[in-house]
Amino acid sequence: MRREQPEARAEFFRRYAPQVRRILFLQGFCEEVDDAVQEVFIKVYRAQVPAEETFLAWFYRVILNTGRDQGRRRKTRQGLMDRLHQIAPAAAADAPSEPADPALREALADLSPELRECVALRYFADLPLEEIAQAQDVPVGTVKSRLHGAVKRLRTSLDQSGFERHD
Amino acid sequence: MTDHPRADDATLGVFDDDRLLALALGLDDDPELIAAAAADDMLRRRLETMRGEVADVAAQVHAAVPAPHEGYADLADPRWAGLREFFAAESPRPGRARGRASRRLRVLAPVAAVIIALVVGLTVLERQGGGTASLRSHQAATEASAPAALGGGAHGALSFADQVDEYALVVLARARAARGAVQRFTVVRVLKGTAPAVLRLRIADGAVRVGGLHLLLLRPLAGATGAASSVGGLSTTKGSLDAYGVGKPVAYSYHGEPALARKLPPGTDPRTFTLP
Repeated sequence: MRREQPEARAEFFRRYAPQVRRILFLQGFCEEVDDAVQEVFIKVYRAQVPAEETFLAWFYRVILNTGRDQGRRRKTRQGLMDRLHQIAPAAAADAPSEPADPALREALADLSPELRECVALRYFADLPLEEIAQAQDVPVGTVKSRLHGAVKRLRTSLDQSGFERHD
Repeated sequence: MTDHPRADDATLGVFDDDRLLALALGLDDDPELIAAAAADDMLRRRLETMRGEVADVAAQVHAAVPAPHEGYADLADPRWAGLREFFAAESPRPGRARGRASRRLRVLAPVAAVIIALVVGLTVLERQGGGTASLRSHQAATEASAPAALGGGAHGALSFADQVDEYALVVLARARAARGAVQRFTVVRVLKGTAPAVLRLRIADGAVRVGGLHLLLLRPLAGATGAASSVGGLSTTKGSLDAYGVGKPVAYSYHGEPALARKLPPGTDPRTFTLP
């Protein structure tokens, strides 16, 4: 991102910061998530995009790597569970009418980090499979497998908790 | 949640839930399943149910981690202080900055030469027994008008510039919360050397206050004999920097080497802060 384009950088931040926050949150952040968001953008503004990569593919990889670096130091399944339960939906812009089903939160916390990354990129960044594959640096087939496995587990958790659909 | 329409065993065997899920998620096109669902009412209803369940999962994931409030990305918020340097209206390129510094140097150098000549001349006069009063008044005037010269002789301590010269890495950074024996700092501006976005310093004296802008002196250079020679030695420079309004030195270690944090006065603009 060019140094002499402060407005372009600001616009990029305004557009992407909310989804970066959600992706990092699902990687296990809570109280320090804003620090991590800031760290992502500092890295992006300071770095050069590798010539062989598109900007967004590289950008999402920076997000995932930031989350992985932090996660290695202090990731626990219980920690993520606690964080997911600390979320206050009322403070959100798209506040859902009801909080997430507890069984789904537990299932989310139980997913492996790779599967959670996949879910985050799919649902928060709305990335197509090919771009998720680039960000995770895996083949598209692996992304399909991960996404299938993740959604299957989440669906099963809702099923077993007696979740009722609202058609 | 699942109350799938019942289907015969043959259909279930070929088109099991995994296959329906893959189609519902858009992972596979599966024209065979689409064609079969068009011809089989039971299968079509199973597929619709699966699509509904996938939509439920999506809604629940969004509910589990909702989007932040609308003002979240407001750059005026103090939480983004570490990013402000990137949004400044004027982001001078290094070349331009060097050019300006060079022009300033050309203007200021003759003035500095005159001042030095005056000081030398007055000193000679004083040694010769005269002009004591005028020397004192000149010294007072010089100190008042040139704060950048501070530290040079204060209690024999190193000057700010000398101290900075003893470190390979000098940054402005905001303190984050300490965790255990480590405190992290978000780098706001690199004044000298190359730094990562976040620095993790091991606490020696005690943690500094969260959010404060600090001058960090890191990676002492080999052969440094003054401030950087040891954490204990850092305290000898205390007096030399006080005149800048910075806080007392707080010792840390960075990658096993002594490091120093000094809080900058409130209101210091990291974009315009310059090393003396």
